[in-house]
Amino acid sequence: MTTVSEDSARRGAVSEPVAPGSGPPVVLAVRDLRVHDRVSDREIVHGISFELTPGKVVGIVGESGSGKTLTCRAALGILPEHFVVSGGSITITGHDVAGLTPAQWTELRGSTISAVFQDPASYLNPSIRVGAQIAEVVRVKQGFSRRVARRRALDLLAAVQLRNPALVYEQYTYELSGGMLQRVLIAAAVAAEPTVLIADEATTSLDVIVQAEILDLLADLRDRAGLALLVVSHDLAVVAQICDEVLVMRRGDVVEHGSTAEVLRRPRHEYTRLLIAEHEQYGLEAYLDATTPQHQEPNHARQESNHAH
Amino acid sequence: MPTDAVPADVVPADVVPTDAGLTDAVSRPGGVLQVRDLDVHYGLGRRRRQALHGVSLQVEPGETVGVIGETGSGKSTFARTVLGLVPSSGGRIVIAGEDVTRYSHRQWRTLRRRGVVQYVFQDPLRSLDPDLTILESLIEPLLLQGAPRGGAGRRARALLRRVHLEEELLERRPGELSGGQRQRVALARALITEPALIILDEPVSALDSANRVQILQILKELRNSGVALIFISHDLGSVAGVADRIAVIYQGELVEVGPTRDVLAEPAHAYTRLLIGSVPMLRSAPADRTERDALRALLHA
Repeated sequence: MTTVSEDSARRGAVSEPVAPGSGPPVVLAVRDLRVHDRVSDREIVHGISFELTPGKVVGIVGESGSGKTLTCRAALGILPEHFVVSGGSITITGHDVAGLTPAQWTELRGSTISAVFQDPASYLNPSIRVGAQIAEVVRVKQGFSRRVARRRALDLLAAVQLRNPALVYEQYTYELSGGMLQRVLIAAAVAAEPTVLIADEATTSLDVIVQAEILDLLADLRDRAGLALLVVSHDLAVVAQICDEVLVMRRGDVVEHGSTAEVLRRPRHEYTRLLIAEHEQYGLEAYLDATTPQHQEPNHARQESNHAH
Repeated sequence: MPTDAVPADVVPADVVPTDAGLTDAVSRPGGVLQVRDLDVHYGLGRRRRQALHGVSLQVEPGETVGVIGETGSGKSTFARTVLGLVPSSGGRIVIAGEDVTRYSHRQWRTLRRRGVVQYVFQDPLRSLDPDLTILESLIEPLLLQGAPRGGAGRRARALLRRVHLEEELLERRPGELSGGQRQRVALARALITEPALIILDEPVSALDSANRVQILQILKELRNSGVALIFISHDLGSVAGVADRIAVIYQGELVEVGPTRDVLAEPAHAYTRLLIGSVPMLRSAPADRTERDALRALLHA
C-alpha cells in the first residue's frame, strides 16, 4: 500500500501507548493485530492498530471482507473456529488477552468489553420475554437477586429510551421492531457496565430515522458513562457522524487512519476517495450540494476522484 | 433524550400533525393520475384498521413524484390501491381521465392489461416469471394485447438498450441475471406498453450502490420521455435527485407535498424535518441533536 509509511507515522501520533499517569487510561489497545485463516492458510488481517480511552469513539469502515469484523471478534475473543491471532497484541484495561482461558474470556465479555451486531433478533431467544433475558445478564454478571435484577433490567430498558419499559419487559422478540430490538440488545450489552462497547454494523438494517436514534443513544452512553466505543460500518457517513477517529480497511490492510475530520477533508488513499465519491454520487447530501449554496464548498477529494475514473 | 417540553422556537405550531390529511394544494384538471380523499381500510370488525386517511395527489403527464414514508406509513398501500390491488373505502381515483374508483376486478385486470399504468416492485424476481426468457417476459404484455411477435421483439431490443442492457441477455432467464440487471429488465417490461404512468415501489432499495446509481440514472433519463413516474421509497436520498415533487406520507396521511427543492430546503412537517435531520452527512455539519430530540418527542406525543 502506498500510504503505509505516512500511515504508520500518523498512527504513531494518534495511538502511541500512553504512559501511566500521563493521560486517560487506555481501555482497549490493539497493536499490529494479525489474524490468520488456518483453512486457507492465509493472513486475513495484516496488522491493525488503534487505541480506545474512556469516552473516545473509533470507527472502522470498509467493505465486507475487509477484516473489520474479524478485528472486532478478535477483541472479543470470539474468532470463528479456524481463525487465530497470528501476530500483534490486544490489551483490555491493561491486560494482554493472549493467554486468557475460555473461562476468563467469559468473565471479561459483558463486564469489561461488550458488543452489539447487525441482526439483533438472532441474539435473543424468541421464546423468552426480552426483559427476563436482560435480567439474567444482570444476575449472572453482577450477582444480583432476581428482584433487584428485574428492577435493574427495567432501568436499563428506560436508559436505552424504550418508551414503555414495563411493557417491553413482558414482550417477545417478534412483538418488537428492529430499532426496539437493537435498543434491547444495547441494554443487555451495557447491563454489566462495560468500559468498551463494540457496535459492528449495529444500524445497518435500520431505516435512517431509527439509525439516527441508535447513534444518538450510543453518543449518550459515551457522554453519560464514559463508554469507549468501537463503531464498525460499511457506511463512511455513519462512522463520520459519531467517531473521533477513523480507520479505513481494505482487504485486511488499514489504508488510512486519522482523525475523522482529517480523513474526510484530506483523504490520502484512493479507496477512501472512492468511498467519499460514492457517497457524493447520490443521496440527500449530493442533492443539497448541487442545489443549496451553503453546501457548495470546494472539495478536492471529489475533483481528484473524478479524474481517477 | 426526548423531553416532554418542546421548545416553542424549534417546532412552529403549524407543523404539528393534524387529523386532517393535507390536500394536494392546487386542483388541476386532467393529469395522468388524480387521487382525491382516498381512504383505505384493512381487516374486518374489531381488527379493522385505517391504512390511508384522505390522501389526495395529482400527477401530471411526464412528471416524477417521489412518495416518501417509513415502513407501515401506507405508501405501498397507496401504490397498490392505485393499481387496483387493494380496494379503497372512500375517495376517488381517476387514471388518464377514466374514473376507476368503482371498477370490478375484471375491469381492473383489463385496465392493467392495456398497460396505461405499469409498476415495478422492489424485488424483480417477484414480477418476472422465472420460467420465461427475458425476451418472453418483455414481450408478454404486448402479446396479451394481440401485438405481432416480430414487432414486439424489435421493441424489446430497443428498450433493452434504453435501460443499458446487452441484447445477449434476451435469451437468459431471470435467475441468471444480477439483481441490478433484473430490475432494469422489470423497468423495460413496464415501459414496453408505453404507459402514461409507472409506479415504482422501492425500486432501488435491494440494490448495491453501483446498481442503485445506475437505476436512478435511467429514471432520470425517463423524465424527459413523457412517462409520469411515482417513485415510492423510504430513502429520501434516492428520490431527491429524480423527483420533480415530493409527497410525504406519515401514519396514513399525506402530510406534505411540494417541489423537491422546497420540501428538502424548508420541510414543513415534523416527520419530514426529522427524516432530513437523521440522514448521516459526510461533510455538512450533523443536524442539531436538540432539534432531533424535540421532533421525536413531538411525533411520539
